[in-house]
Parts: sequence; structure tokens; C-alpha cells
Amino acid sequence: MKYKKFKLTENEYNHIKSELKREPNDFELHLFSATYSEHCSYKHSKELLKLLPRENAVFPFENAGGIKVGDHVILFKMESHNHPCAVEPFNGSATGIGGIIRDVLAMNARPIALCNSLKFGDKSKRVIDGVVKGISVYGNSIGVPNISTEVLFDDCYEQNPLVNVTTIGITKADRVLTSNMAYAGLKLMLVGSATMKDGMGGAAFASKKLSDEKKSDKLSIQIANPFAKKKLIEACLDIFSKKLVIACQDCGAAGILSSTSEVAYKSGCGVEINLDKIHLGDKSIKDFEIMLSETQERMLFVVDEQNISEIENILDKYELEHSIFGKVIKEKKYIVKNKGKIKADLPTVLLVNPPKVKIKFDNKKMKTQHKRTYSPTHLFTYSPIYEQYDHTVGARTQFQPCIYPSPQPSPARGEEEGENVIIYYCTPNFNALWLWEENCSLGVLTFSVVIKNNPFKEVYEAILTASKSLEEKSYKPIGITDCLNFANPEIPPTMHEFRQTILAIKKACEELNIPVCSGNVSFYNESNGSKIKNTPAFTMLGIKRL
Amino acid sequence: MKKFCGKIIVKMKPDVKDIKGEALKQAVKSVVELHDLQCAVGNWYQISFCAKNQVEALKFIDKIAQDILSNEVIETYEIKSLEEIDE
Amino acid sequence: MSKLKVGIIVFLGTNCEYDTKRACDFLGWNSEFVWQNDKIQKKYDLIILPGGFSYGDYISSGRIAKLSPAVKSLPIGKTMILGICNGFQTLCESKLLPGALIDNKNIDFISKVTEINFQNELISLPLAHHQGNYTCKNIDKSQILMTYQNNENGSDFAIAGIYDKKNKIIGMMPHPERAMYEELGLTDGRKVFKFIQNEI
Repeated sequence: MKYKKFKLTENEYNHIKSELKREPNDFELHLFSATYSEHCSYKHSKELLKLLPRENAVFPFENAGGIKVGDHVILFKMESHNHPCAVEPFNGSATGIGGIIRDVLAMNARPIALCNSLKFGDKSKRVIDGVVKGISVYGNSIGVPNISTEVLFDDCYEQNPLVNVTTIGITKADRVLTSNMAYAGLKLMLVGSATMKDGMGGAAFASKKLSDEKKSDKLSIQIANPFAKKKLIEACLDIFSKKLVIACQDCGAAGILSSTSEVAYKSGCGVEINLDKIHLGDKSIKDFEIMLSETQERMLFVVDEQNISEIENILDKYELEHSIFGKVIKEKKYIVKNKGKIKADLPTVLLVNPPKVKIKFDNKKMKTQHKRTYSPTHLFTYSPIYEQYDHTVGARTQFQPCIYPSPQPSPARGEEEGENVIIYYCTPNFNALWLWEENCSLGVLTFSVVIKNNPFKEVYEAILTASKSLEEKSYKPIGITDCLNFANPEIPPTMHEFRQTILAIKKACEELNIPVCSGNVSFYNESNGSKIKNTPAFTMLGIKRL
Repeated sequence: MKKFCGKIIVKMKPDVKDIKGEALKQAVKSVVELHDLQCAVGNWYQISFCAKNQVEALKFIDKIAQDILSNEVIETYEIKSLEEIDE
Repeated sequence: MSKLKVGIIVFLGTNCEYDTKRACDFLGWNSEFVWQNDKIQKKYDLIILPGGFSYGDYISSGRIAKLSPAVKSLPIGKTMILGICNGFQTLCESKLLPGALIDNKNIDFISKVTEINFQNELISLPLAHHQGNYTCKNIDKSQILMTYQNNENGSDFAIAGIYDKKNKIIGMMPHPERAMYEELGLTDGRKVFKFIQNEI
């Protein structure tokens, strides 16, 4: 039952054993526990996501996909950071932004806007305040405007808040940096904050429901450092502009492990890593912890040796730490050494691809658990959410929203159980960015669907409505990103609703002729006693030329 | 050369609004009823370094406190302790 | 008339330098960035300390920026100096302008486009700050350059910006560089820069 300790199934363990033709050691099992987690491997959603239309999207399978606009590319992606926000709202939401920023930054795009879609229960003041503050402090510090926000309240989110963040970046079409260009002989360089123990097991944390032991959950929280991120943004764009880096991948979930294994797998080669060469911030960190740590504000550069000293000069100017810790090798192997001793020796393909899982698509009608009449006096007052986000930095934001001083509940929707969803009107979910580079306006609309009983119809109609809403404002919809927040995929009817959602997105986007440029899936949004109504969230972009 | 360790507290001057202190007061009130509650929020710093003697060490601590740790327009500082420590 | 030469000081953590440069470009001014660790050596007509979170606002906003070679070498009294938001905080920390900026009275970040009293008219400028609450003992009223119509952050006398005419130093919390363009529906920033140009 060793595999249970590493959160692997018996099937997965046997698969590893048979491919390796030996028993994997504990260190290797730690690696698999992360790469085989739902969060990293997308094992329940991978196959269905292949159905989504990608025509006219650029880089749909890179860190962030996008759309071509003139000589430039707009890269955008939506991501979730739900589980950490339930435990530590401030750092959870701040690092959520940190993570999504890195995705466009890794492609040499300057982040120019943030959007967020937030779902709360109205009793959780601590969570709401923490999340809003986290987004505010982080986004404002790095100077990226938050322009489009959607906030919904429902009982089902009381224990399981949803925090979805979108980032939009811009770069010249011929200057996009990807993660699949590595080749043998290049060196691996880790840039940014010194690796510590924060965020340990974050990938596994996001792949299970929240436990009642909040303390152990707290150990899995990453710590945000927006100042370090700001320095990282400027340093990276400076270094990339001088074409000093061959491939780049950000260190997000499962940190060094996932970034190096992704690069190796996508580039069709292998890597050899030396743990003792990595710059650390905690002397007590164990070897497998170095691989899995989710210390924020780190990037992986794959570089040619001759450029290292110039890169290091720029990093020193921005006061960023760095270390050369490995190299790219021809054999498609993933080798980890510590002081010369081999800790892991695995085929890259095996590390990155778990065996197929059996998916339960049954449609079981679940009786919603909440019956609660909403009373406006429950709501407490706090600064309007949108006023805490710097939305004018960057001198691109075209709409300065009218702020209502107090939240307005939406009309009660009859006697159906758990039906009251209130919209907090203090946030605009539509805004536009003026693209100086291309002399046109980029419309941004953030919206979501709280699935009630007909996922296909509800999602399909929501996307069509969003598209119509952009067109009414003279914006031609050009692309969409999604963040699919669902409950436990092992328990019906989650996967049934998930599949219906995918099919609806496919139908709507094919009809509208807009690609799904990027996206994110978050499963296991439930904790003892409560689970969310499945909630796909979206950001849709449109272009208006004068 | 001896090694010294100084601990400094920086607070808002009495006649300047202590906004963080006020916010803390509201937060405490929401958790427990207390008579005559007052709150102040400041910063705590620890600086250790080598110097010839206590007099010189104090001069350095004062300079650091005045130039960097506090803004005399709105803050005051207090050297809580300055002790010689083992290397 | 030759083009105005502008130096924009950039610190680690500054994030408004590109907006400021774009505003200068729009006005037809020649601008370039000056790195925090470099002494100011060229002769500029205007030096701008832009907004942002220099040094992560560690210890306090502008506290560490004031120690940089760039700030220490500012040509006081010889060149017009403009501090916007974090720049204003840095100038106060350096004692180049009187007073200090402390936390907003509502303890939250304030981001909104609001009405500012400037040169006997009401103009619209964006605010975006956490420590914009201006406090000063013995304020010289003749130095008040602009005030908040609604005093969102609780500043003494609703002061949003001050101008030390003798030493040619201006500090303001609102962001005129974000209010220059028809495309954004905000153009009152032009009035602020025009005023500064006339004062040079």
C-alpha cells in the first residue's frame, strides 16, 4: 500500500513498475505523486479538452495561448487558485495572480491587464476581505491593472470559494518564446527567489478536497512576493529582448519538477538536474522538497552557455538570485542527482503521462444541499471591491466604471432550493484596453455559469449571450479562455456535467468561429459537507477597429 | 572589535494619526469587549554589527534609526536594547 | 522652440515609467530613463520621479528610494522636479518637500477617477495609492497646488499636490500621465503638464 502514501492509485503504481521494469524508489515516487496528480496531469479532463476548437489560436498548448492582432500577439489565460484561498485567502489569491502572470511572462509578453471572477458565500468575511486584498496588493504592486471583475455570492461557495484570474499580455508575433525549443547541450538556469519549503505539495493539495485539518493545509500555502515578481518581469523582458534565452517555462505547480519535465517532454529530449547546485533559502529542505517546492517568483531558462554571463549581469542589476543547475540531454530521460548520487532516473514520457483513468460519466441527479433564504442584512460593508484594484495603471484602460456605493441583491428566484445568487454590482465585468501598438481597442468580458440542471444549454447560451454583448458594443469576438471549476471528478454527476460543458463550449465557439485559446481545469472544489455547483468561468476578448 | 545587537521600535508620533492602530482597534473590538482599549502599530527592527565600543555602536544605531528606520516628520524611534553579543 | 529634455528616474519596483514616457512622447518632449544607481549627470529641463512601489515600499513608501544615487544627485533649484505618487512620497521622505504621506484614512488602496481642484477649475484625474494621506505641520498655504474635491484619503486640507516654487519642486498624488488621451476618456492630465511646462 506504499503507493497510497504518495497519493497514487494501484493502477498507476503498477504502470510505473512495469514501465521501469523495477520498483521506483521513494524519491521517484514523490515526483510521480506530483506529476500524476489531477492538477498537473489533467488525467480526467485531458481527452475531453482535445475536443475544443483551436483554429486561429496561436500557441494553444503553450503556457498561454492567444490571438494574432496585426504584428502582435495577444496572449491570455485564465487560472484558478481555489483551494489555497479557502485556507489562506490573502496569499492564496496573491499567488494566484503571481502564477498566471508568469504564464504570459514566460512567453516574452508584457502583462497588460488582469481580470478576475470571484465566487463567495456571503458569511465568509475573512475570505472575501483576504482574497480582495491579495489581488489588490499583488496586482497593484506589479503595476498591472485589474480591469474586469465578476463577483457572485451563493451558499455553495461558503466552504469552497472560487478565485479565477485571467491575465492578458502583448508581444510582437515574431518574438514569442516557447518551452519546446530545448536541445542537447543547453544549460538549465533557475532564476528568481531562493527555493524554500512553501507551497509543498501544492499540486497534490489542489487535487483533493479540503480537509478539516486546516494546519496541514496551511503548510501547502505559497507565499506571495510582488516586489520580487516586478523585478522578475523587468529582468525577463530585458533578457528576452536580447534573445539570450532559447526556451522558458515558469515554475508553478510542482515547481522545478514540472517546469523541467515539461520542457524536456515538449522539446523531445531529456534533462539532468543537480539538486546541490540549486540556490536555496532554507537549509533544512529535503531533496524531494527541492523538486516539489512551489516557492513563488521563479522561472526556468534554457540557455546556451555563452550567454550565461550576460544574463547574470542583467539578473544582478535587478537583484535576482540565480543558479545553473542542470543541462539538457539527448536521451529522453529525467535524471536527478544530488552531490553526484543519482536520486531519480526515469523516462520523461512515463513521468509526464499517467495511465488513462476510467471516467464515470453517469448523470446522477443530486439534490442540492442548501436551503436558505437570503437576507440582505447578512451582508457587511467594505470598500467597493473594484476601488481597491488599480485599474488605470498602464494608461490603456478605456472605461472608468460607475461605482455603486452598496451591493444590490438580484431579485429572488422563486422557491427553488439554494437559488439565491446575488451579484455585487460594484464591479464591471466588461472593459476595454487601448492597444497603442496596433491602434485598436481590445474588449474584455468576464462571465461565468453557475450550473443548475442543464449544463449544455446553460453554458451554450451564456457564451452566445457574451458574444452578443461584445458585438452590441461594436467588438468582434476573437477568442476565449476558460476556467472550469468542478467538484470531485470521481463522483457523478461531475464528469457528466463536465463533458456537457465541453460540448457546449465546442458548439458555441464553432458557431461563433472563435477559438478556445487557453484554459484551466479545477476539480475537487468541495470539502466535508459541501460542494460547489459546477461553475465554468470565461474571459472573452473582442477587437474594435475605428 | 566587539559585536553588538540593537533592537529598535518605531511608532507614529503621538500627534500624528495612527491609522493602522485605529484599524487594529476596530478588529480587536470585534473579537473581545475591552475597557479603554488603545492600539498602536509600529515596526520592530534588529540590527547587529561590529563596533569598537558601546558608544560607537549607539552612534551607528541612532544614525540608522534616523536615516532609514523612521521618518521624523511622522514617526519616533526608541532603542529598546543595545547589547554586546558573542560572535 | 527646442524640445523639452526630460529625465525619468526608474527604481526597482517603479511601474509608471512607461506611462510617463508615453505622456512625454505625446507632448513632444524628449525623455529618457535614469537608473536609480546612476548619478544624474545630463542637464534636463524636467526630472520626473514616477509612480510605483519603489523597493517594494519596504519600511515605507519612498524610504529606500531617497537613499539612491539618483535622488541624492537631484539638481535642486536648477531643474524642475516633479514627483508623481510614489515620486511625491520619495520627495517628502528626502525632505525636499515638506510633510509626509501616510496610510489612506480607510486603510485600503484607493483607485478611482476623481475631481481635483487645480488652477481654479475642477479636473478629473485618476488616483491609485495606499499611502496618499498628506499630513504636514505648519503647511505653507501658498504651496498648495491641488486639492481633492471629495478628500477620499483624509489628507490635511484635502491637499493632493504641492509646489515649492522657489526650489522648483512639485509633488502630487494623482496621476496626470494616465489622463492624456481621448481613447481613455481622460484628457485633463494635459492641463497639468502644460502648467508645468509654463513654469520651466
